[in-house]
Amino acid sequence: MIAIVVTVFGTISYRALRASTLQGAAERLTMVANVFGQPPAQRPAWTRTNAEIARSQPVRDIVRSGGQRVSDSARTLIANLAPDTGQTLAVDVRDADGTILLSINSTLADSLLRHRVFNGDAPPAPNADSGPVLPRLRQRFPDTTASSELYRRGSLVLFERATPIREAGRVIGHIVEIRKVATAPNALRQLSGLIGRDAALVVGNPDGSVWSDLEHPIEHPPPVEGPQRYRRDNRSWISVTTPIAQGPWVLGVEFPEDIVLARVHALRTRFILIGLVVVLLAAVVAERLSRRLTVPLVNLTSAAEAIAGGQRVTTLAPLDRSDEIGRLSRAFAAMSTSVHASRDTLELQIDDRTRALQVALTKLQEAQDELVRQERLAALGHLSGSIAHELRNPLGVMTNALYYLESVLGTDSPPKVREHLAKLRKQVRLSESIITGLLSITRTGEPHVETIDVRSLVDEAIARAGVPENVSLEVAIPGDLPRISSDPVHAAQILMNLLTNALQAMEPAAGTLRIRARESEHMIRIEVGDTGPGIAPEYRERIFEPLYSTKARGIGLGLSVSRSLAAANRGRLFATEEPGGGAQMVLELPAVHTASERVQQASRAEGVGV
Amino acid sequence: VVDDDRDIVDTLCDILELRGYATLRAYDGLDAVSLAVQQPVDWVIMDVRMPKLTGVEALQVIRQQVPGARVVLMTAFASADLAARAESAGAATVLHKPFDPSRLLNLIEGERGEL
Repeated sequence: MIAIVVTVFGTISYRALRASTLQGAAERLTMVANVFGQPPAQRPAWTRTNAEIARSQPVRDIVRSGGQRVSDSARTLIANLAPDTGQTLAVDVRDADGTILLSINSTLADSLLRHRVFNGDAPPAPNADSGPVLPRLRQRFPDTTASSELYRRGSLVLFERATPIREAGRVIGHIVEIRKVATAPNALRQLSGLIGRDAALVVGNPDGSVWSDLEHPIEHPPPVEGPQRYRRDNRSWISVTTPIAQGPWVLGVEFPEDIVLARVHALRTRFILIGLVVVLLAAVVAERLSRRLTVPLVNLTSAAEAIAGGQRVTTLAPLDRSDEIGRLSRAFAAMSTSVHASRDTLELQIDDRTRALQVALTKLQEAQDELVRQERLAALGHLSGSIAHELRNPLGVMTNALYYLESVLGTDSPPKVREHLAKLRKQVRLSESIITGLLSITRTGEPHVETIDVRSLVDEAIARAGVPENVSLEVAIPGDLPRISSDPVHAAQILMNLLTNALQAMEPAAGTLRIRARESEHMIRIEVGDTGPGIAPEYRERIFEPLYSTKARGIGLGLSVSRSLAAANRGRLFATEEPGGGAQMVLELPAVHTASERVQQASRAEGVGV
Repeated sequence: VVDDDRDIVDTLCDILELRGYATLRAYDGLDAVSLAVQQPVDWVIMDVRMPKLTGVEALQVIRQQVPGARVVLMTAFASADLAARAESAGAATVLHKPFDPSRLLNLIEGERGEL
């Protein structure tokens, strides 16, 4: 842009300056041409002599006698017209018809003068190297002194001048000089001094056919009209032509344009240099400006792309700039921060939701497992219920039969009989308890919740389970342990099941049965541990599945039923490891705080004894 | 003594007879009703689930036809609902199989002692 402005401005200025310079030069040249074109105030001596010679008696005598009488004085007079300056090549004396009565040729020019203008003959042949001749001079001789147009002969530019010879006011003949265009060397030097060394003076025909630089013909003549510019000899010239008063010629003053325009050209060069410098400076400034502008923008763009790509952008364009870029950078940084913040929030939310979803899924899975377990339990309960009922009749018969036999045999019967009867009775009772256990599956309905003392619950279960002699018993139940809220039948059944399992796990070797109870987060936690082989972690959940059993005896419903009962009483039952390697079953049931217990607990918490 | 399980009937009757009671044996509800109507009885020990006439239905008829008879129901199905129905129908008690025969004897002998 700047380059264009500089170029346009420079061009316009240059053109204006050049035009005005050329105009000035043209005016100067016109002035010079006018000066040279004016007739001199003092006519040259030879002109005066010329006219005087034409009036002289001897010359008139030549014409009057038709060239018969040529006196020596006449010959001398004519010869004077052709001095040795070399300018006049020939002088003729002719009659009114143009017949040459006397001709004096300079020796060097004789061969050149095959043609003469003022003789009324045919014009120069077209192939001759001459210009056209003025028509009026070709037809008849002038009655005043007149010069012909210029014409060329080889390397010479010639013209003819006719001076009438009069007698009694009548033109009887002419003196015709054939002259070449030339000036004296010192005259040229004077001219140069006048118009400048580089200027040139040319003389030519008004139609421009022949031109001379006052010595030689000019091959590429200047235009005839106006102040003009033209090219000659590989140079541009400014030319002004003006008619010359004493002849039919025009005077041209030429001046080489590069000289005229030297200062303008110097100015132009300087202009171009300045322009280049300005453009260069502008380019540098523009480059720096654009760098200052584009580098932050490029940074911002790549930062935006990075953010779009999910990266965290920490470094940004400079924020301390006070311009729009600075504002943009700050806005961008703020945006980036808020994008990250919201994305972090979003990620946190997603994490939360994911976790919640996983928890929900886990719960759903557990619920489904529980449902499946319950359905299997229900089906099993239905089946085992039917079987149990079918077995109760035979057991009734056996009980009755046993009673009858014992009644009949009495105490007198042999010990072996009594022993066998006792075994029978024991097995019938065992069968009955198995059936009762089976039937309990169908009885996991609504629990009838009561407040139960854990100590007595445990004591009863221990008593019913019948701890063998080789098993030692450790019971740790705090005296101030809160009661539990549960269906007493359910609680007893669960505990019974746990004790039975623990005792069976330690059979037949000796061991220790540990029962501990404590409060934990509003629940009473009852732990039943044994010193048996323990339960491998991968089986700690499977053992609660219906029909899963590792024991030789049992159908694998006890723990499953117990867990269902615990859940029905808002508690839970799970397996873990007893310190020392045995199994530990944990039963949790809701704790109940009576008003006095709460007071007691509060007092304990405050360290006040009651 | 009424039960579609003959062994139950036989063993209970043997025990009762051992104690000196006269017994009649029936094996379905309809038999029980006709027997009780034909021969006056003090006690009817009767299973609940039986063919032709269930224990509860038979109980209702017997309570109507033989107002003096006391009825004990036996069942292999433990159900609170059944116990309530039996009680409203006028049963002396409901025994859940398998039960200790001494409980039945105590009941009968306790009643007799009151008389």
